[in-house]
Amino acid sequence: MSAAFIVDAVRTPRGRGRPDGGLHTLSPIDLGATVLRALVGRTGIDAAAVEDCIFGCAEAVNDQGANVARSSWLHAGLPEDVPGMVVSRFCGSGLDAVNAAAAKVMAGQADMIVAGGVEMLSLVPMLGTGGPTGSDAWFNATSWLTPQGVAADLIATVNGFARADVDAFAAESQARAAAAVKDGRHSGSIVPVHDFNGDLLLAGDEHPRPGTTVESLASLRPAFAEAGMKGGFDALLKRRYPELLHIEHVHHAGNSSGIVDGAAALLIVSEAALQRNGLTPRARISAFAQAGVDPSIMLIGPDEAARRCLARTGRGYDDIDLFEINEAFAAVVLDFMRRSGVGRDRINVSGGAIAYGHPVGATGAMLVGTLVDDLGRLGARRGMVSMCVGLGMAVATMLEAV
Amino acid sequence: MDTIISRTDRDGIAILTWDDPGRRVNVKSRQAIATLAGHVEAVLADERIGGYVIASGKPDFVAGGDIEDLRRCATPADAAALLAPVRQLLRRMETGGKPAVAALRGNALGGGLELALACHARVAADLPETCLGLPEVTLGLMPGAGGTQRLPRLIGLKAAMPMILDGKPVSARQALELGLVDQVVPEERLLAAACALAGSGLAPVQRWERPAHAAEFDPQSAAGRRLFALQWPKTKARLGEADIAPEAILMALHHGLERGLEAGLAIEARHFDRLASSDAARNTIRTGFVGMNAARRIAARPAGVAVREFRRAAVIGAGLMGCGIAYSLAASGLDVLLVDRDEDRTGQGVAAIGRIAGRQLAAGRIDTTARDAILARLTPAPMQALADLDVVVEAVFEDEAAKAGVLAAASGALRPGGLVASNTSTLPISRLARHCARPADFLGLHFFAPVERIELVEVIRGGETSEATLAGALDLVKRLRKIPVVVGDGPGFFTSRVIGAYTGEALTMLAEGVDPAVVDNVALAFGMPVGPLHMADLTGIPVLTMIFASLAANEAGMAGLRADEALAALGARGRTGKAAGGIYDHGPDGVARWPGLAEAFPARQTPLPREIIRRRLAYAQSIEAVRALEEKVIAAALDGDIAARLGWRYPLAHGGVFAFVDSVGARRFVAESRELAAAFGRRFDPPATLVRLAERDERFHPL
Repeated sequence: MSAAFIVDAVRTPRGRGRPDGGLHTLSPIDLGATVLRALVGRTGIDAAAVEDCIFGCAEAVNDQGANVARSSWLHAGLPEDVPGMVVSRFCGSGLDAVNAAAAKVMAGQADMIVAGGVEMLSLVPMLGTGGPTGSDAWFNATSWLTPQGVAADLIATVNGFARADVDAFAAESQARAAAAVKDGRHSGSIVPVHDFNGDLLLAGDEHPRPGTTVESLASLRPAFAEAGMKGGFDALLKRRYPELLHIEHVHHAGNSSGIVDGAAALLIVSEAALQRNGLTPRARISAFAQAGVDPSIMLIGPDEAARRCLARTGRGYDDIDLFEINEAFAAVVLDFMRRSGVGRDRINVSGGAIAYGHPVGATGAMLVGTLVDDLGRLGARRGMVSMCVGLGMAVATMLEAV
Repeated sequence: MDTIISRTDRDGIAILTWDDPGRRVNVKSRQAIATLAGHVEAVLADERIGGYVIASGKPDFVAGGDIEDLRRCATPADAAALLAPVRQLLRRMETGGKPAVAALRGNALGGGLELALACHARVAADLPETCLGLPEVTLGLMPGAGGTQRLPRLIGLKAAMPMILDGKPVSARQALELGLVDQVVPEERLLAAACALAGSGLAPVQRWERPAHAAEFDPQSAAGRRLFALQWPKTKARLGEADIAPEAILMALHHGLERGLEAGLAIEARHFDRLASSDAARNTIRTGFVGMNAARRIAARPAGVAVREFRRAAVIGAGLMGCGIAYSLAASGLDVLLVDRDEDRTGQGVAAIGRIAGRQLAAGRIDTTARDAILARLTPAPMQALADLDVVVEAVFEDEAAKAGVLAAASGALRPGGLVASNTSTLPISRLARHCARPADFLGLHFFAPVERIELVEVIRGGETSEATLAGALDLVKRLRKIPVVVGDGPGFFTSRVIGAYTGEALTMLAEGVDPAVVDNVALAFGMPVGPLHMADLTGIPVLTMIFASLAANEAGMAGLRADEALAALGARGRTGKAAGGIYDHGPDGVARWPGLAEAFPARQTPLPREIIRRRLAYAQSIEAVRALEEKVIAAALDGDIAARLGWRYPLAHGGVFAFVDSVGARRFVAESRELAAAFGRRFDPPATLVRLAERDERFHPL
């Protein structure tokens, strides 16, 4: 088995996923092309030697439909020899793109793959591709349809996380992100986005709110109380979790992941390709795994996916120096901490999606990039990315310093 | 046979008048459909005829299919075979090449509206009784002859969805606004207007099958997806585990509206055929329709006794129950004297009845004229003023001594042949009868709170109650527009006895250390409207303690029950119910955990599996009901199912306490009851009737 090395990882800044967001006037293939051109340029590779371009995209429809990987590649003016494919596992899509690329390399069926992801939530909202979720009554019953925010509130309820707990987590995430931005920890990986006239549209992440405190979050109203209580979801969840009398609705815009636009790309190569092209690896992908869990509580899978990933390498949580656990909602990470026993000091050391935002299908690729940066910065040996995914899934990837 | 539908031709338009001589309403029987199909083919082949009108010769248009045929469908294939002719006919009408117009008057519900929807236009008579709707869901069914497909294509998904999901009909004017009918005309012009429309060059093609038609509401649009995604949890949260029709409706709407009509009809048919042959529909139809209609007609009334008239009544006891009974009597046109200890109490009673009337008015159940008339028929009176009464209802505190004095006094105030009734939920009628001057004229009428809303009246025969008294009491219940269930004397009669078994089982689990939230949530998932332990708090722990004391005589039902223990533990801690806190704490946001719970009822080591909790709650009710049947407290299983539905909102899709045994299957029910008996107490021992049923593999309800 060949090893899979990460040579470089770039991403766009994350723009607010709204009509006034910095990236909203662009097309998804503009974002895809931006990171692809930057990756090819920075690594100096012969782009025609890339064997596949794999993008994660959760809602592959409209302008980000019909294979946004191949489209972005061609739109970037890169050689037509390179095909593309899109993978979708909702929030885990970008990480699955990385894993799929690594799998090809590790299996000896490719030497050089570009992996990444694109998502413009300002253009295509969550569930924009449709699907039986929501509209198919029987499937809703089978899968215990629950809006993600209500599921996060359920996680908080069963664990006894109070509003103060989740808000404290969110404030800390903002503080860590603010420190990371101030230090410029990741500025070397962020590619400014310009329009075709060369005008700069966005140079840095748009979503973080430095100075956020538990007190400033206290005024925000729970975002999912109405759907839960009036919409009927709470009553249905009590059939699945009959020990509950109420669902405590603790999540709001300030302790949930931000809605943003963005794209990311990584170059993943074999050892042979490293030597052939004189490339310097930044990290090695040592294992990956995925898991399915109860779809109603939905977002509790990061621990299970991480454990399966660890089991592949015979390692334990103590062997991992840094974790990137996607901050879909504050309770997701708090739940991971409780299940895994891993302390906050090793998790999301530079903040997470509560501050930066969560460009769904691109996030996994971005988190790998963030982890590569922080492993190098801190001289750490091993890191793990794990993400909760809709419909009760999760995906994880383990990295090692080289 | 051919007289069901007659044909008259007028200026090139054929008028098909449906007027079944053998029935009060026009029903889409096989015979009627065959007749209509014959007429339609003849009209389509007749060169002199340019279009046709379907009208009714009865006050109502057409009702649905024959429910008796439908409830005999054992498999989806049976239902498909039953409906095939009407499905084919409706498709033939809309594609036959000649315009068809429906002339609607009175009820056009269910299959009747589906017939009208297959026409190319509809005209409705401007009458208050004109009523259009698809109420199939109220029978545990869904429209099965195109209703879920043609209605949303005609008026849009957003308007059609609630009509089909809730089953609520609309008036002629509302139908016009919705686009469900093309014209609303005075009744005398109905036929002329329909004929004119049929001869006006109306295209014989449904608008949704014209080339230029764009779907008004695509389920796959963002708005369409949102509509379904928001509707499902609201619908599902209302449903018990056995209630399958509303989700089938959502499925047929969603998948049908995404496709063309033919495919949509096939999808609808698939769902309907499954529902029509389901336990849920059979249970709902049997208990909610067939059974309740028979009970409403007081089928249990002794024959050969003259119908009794009631003019003057007295209600003694101006508490919650007495006021509700007095209101209901006055609302039925009786003059009512309200009696209590003193003027203060009767004054408070009159005020309380005024509040009941106000609520009924606010809810639109009565108008101000009716309210004024009801309140005018009500007079506060002292006990000694009672005379010349047709009926006295005693509704004082549930205490034999208190009731004894009242009954003795009341007996003297009756007209000869007058009726005395006690509203008791637990005290034996035969014992109370001793206090009456003429025990033959006395019986129990057990009303349920809120009396003005709950339809059930348990009619309790004492040992000496005469046939004439029973007949008279049933006449009174009918006059009150309530539904009687005749029961025999015995601890808790039927209703309190079976609710007692259910509540007692929940309290026993509480005593065992089962989490009350789990008990209640399992009951809610089963389809009960409120959890039994939440309900216990609403009833009040002291009242429940009294009820269980009166049920103690039922030794078989009490074997191993720990309800008294649970109630005593609550009472000892000052936990009396909702106001002061009971099994739960109660606040403006509903129930919350009582911090003292774990001290009072230490939690079990291992949680009791939910399925066991579910079985204990459900089987306890059914087994107690069977014991009551064996003791002849009720005469028939269907009576018990009706009492369960009306008395404690037992889920209709499960049919009732007896129908539930049928759904489980007697063999399995007996085997599982024995398991419960071994684990939790002899009260779960299956009674002989059940064992016999299991041995013969029989059911309580063959149909």
